[in-house]
Amino acid sequence: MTILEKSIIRFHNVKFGYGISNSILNNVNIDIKQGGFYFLTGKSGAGKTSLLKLMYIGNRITDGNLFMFDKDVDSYSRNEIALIRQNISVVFQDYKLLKHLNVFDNLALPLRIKGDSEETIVRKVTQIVKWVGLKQYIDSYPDILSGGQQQRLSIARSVITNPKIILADEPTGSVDEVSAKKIFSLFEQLHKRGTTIIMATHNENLVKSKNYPKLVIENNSVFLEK
Amino acid sequence: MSSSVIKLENNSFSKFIPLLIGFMVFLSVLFISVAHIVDEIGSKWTDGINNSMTVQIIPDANLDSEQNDDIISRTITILNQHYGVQDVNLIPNDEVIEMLLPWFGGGLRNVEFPIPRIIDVKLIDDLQIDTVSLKAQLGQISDSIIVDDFSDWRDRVNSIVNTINGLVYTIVLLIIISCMIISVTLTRALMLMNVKTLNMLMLMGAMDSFIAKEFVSYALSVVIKSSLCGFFVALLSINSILYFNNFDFELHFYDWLLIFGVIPVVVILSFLVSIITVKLTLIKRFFNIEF
Ligand SMILES: Nc1ncnc2c1ncn2[C@@H]1O[C@H](COP(=O)(O)OP(=O)(O)OP(=O)(O)O)[C@@H](O)[C@H]1O
Ligand SMILES: [Mg+2]
Repeated sequence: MTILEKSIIRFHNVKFGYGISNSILNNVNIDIKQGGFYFLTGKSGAGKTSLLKLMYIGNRITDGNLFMFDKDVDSYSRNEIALIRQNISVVFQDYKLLKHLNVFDNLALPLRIKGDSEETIVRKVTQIVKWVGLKQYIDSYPDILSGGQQQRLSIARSVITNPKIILADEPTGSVDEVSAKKIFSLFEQLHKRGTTIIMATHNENLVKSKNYPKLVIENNSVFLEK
Repeated sequence: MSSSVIKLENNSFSKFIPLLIGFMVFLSVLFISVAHIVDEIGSKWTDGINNSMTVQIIPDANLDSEQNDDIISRTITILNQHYGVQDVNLIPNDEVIEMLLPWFGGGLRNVEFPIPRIIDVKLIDDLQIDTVSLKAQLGQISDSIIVDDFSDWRDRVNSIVNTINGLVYTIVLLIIISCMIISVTLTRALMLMNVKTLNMLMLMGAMDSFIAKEFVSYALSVVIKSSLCGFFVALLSINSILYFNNFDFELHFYDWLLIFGVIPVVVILSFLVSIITVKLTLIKRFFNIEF
């Protein structure tokens, strides 16, 4: 089995809705391969953000089975789920940086959670700010950064722990063309390093220009378009 | 101590909570000191009578003075032989008259009046004297011998002191319970104010223990700072009250140490309720990361 055939997230007859009567996703059967790059598309309100939320176990599925790293999520303990979350990073359209922490502390947070030593933290942060071109802002607070810079910071925060999976929810939605290109190239670099990437996007041109598989949400169900 | 991730917003609620905790600690320190002072007053009152008793002999008008003197000397003999008695001292008539003067007025000296004879009995420290057998023995000599070991007086003082202490410690207990409620409120408020950070921590895979450490240590730092302030303000107030009112006793370093015990109690209990609050919140939120 080559690496691209090994599944890392698998949905089996998954149903999901907020509350009892409401149903967002129905009968979802998809298989995310390790190391793959996937676009996630669908109309506004289709359920892209909700699907990503299920992938980082931010909500529980209503019915069916969700397998992550070869095991049913229901069979994991709370601490094991925390460890799984440490291996999944999420990039949001609105960055979700912590405004009361400076660039260094924003980047250090996931490492502190993992229990890295301060020495390791300093080394990794120094390295990553160079990669996203924010070296001179290390002591600044997110508020003074431009949208593109904030998104690069949030991407840096999501890769600093070297996660197995990166979930990106319209990461280029709030930045201009030039910044979007820069940001997208960061994701492609990560993909080349072996990280599994799922990127929700409205940008049809981007999806067409790249030859990556597409998860499409339509009428409450999800299908894969190669 | 204070965490690098959690932030207490600068609003009136955040200023009010530390003030409230400080005030609560201030009150409990004040109340405990009052209990301590009442204790001290009580023991001052009873100290003077603790190791002594008096025996009163009212002269029998039907007997001549020789017979009455005989009663006195037999009483003294019995007292001297009794277990627990250290010293027996017959108070001279003149002194007894002196003592009675304020009650009877100046005429007493000239009047022929059966002046009671008073025997002052010193007891050996910390020995429980058997007053029942003593009274029985003395009763055989004469019915007019009265033994007063001040137990009524002592009981009354003790019951006043105990009532005040009971009241004070009930109040202190209530104050400490209020402190716990405030700590729960503070912890919950911290989690609400930092809900974005909380969600981010859960998203990044922080274990419950990591999150609890962040919030609890922050809540505790607030509790510790405010209760220390409350303690020192109380210390200052009590000392100035004692000083300006010229009370002839003071709270010693050791007493303050005891009173200071309020702070560890408040801090440890706050620690526990704060942890429980965080854990309960996390149970609800762990699978409900909302941005
Ligand atoms: N926390 C929530 N509680 C209840 N309903 C929600 C919640 N979040 C989303 N929804 C609903 O679920 C549906 C799917 O929303 P979701 O955000 O997943 O869509 P989306 O595809 O990401 O849309 P967009 O492209 O606009 O971001 C919508 O109808 C939305 O109103
Ligand atoms: Mg969305």
